[in-house]
Amino acid sequence: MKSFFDALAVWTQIPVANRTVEVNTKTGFSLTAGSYSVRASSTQYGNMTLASNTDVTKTATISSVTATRASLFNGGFDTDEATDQNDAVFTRITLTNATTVTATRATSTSSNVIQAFNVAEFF
Amino acid sequence: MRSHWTRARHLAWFNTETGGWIGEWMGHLPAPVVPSTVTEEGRLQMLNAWLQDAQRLITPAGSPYAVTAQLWDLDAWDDCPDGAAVCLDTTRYGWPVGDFQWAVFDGWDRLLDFREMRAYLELTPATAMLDASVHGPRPVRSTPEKIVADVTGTPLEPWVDQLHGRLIRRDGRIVFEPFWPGVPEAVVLSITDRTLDLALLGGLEHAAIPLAERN
Repeated sequence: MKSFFDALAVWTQIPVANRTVEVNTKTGFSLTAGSYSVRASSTQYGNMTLASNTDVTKTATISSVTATRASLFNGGFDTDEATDQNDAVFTRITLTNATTVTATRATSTSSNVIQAFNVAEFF
Repeated sequence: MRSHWTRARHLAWFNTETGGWIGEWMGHLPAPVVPSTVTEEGRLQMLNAWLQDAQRLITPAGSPYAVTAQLWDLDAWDDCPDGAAVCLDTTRYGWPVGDFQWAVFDGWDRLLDFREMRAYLELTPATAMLDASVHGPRPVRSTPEKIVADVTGTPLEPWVDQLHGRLIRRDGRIVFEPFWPGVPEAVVLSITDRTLDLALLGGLEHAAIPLAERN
């Protein structure tokens, strides 16, 4: 009696077209890249809040992008009660990995800071 | 047209009559062989013919190829008449399986269109803060550091960029304290009372939410 793996080895040698599998009758036609276009697929907008007296870094999770072809743009920031320059600490934003944007500031202040960003991917 | 080499491909199916998404599949297909003398339109025609042939053995029920990921709307599959679907090779975008589920395919213009921006609210479990929000046409997935809720179409959506704040425990209840003014009390209470479909709160350890400071 053949073992499962013997049977599998025989099966994998059968040309794909001859194997007993369900045939896809739904598809009328197929298109590879270059035969169709994609629109408005690449831009994401986000905001993250660095909490007062607490946060010097904050992350936001985004849809997956390929870092080598993605650009991160600073969308500006706002504070809730900054009364002097010490309360308005600028943040730096970076694309940490395929799904994470990180905002960093040198020091926490008594103000909440909301940092906006855009991520665009180019093809 | 086929070689013994295989290539990882990401395919997506759409109903050409409705434009709606049917499913996605990622796995290894026998690589096409296109003579180097064939260029431009002829090359695309050969690749399209190869894809039509290769995808013929892929259904939600299975395929003879090595599969790495797949996601199907089985009702959409069943509802699609024979010959009415289009299979697109979406490998070049490098996105995870499932990222095309809200796209619409316009067969007339051969255009894959992301028509809707969705809204996501994010919670950091370690600090019990709702502290980020993102708008995009594709899914945003939770990670160990962030719990992500899709609030598209809910009463929270118009306020998602202002719904940043702390969750605290007060008198045995979870209370939401927004960082930013101007959020209607009803919206704040909807988070506090957990009456809305804010699934992210369900994933939060109760003990992780800090106790309110006594005044």
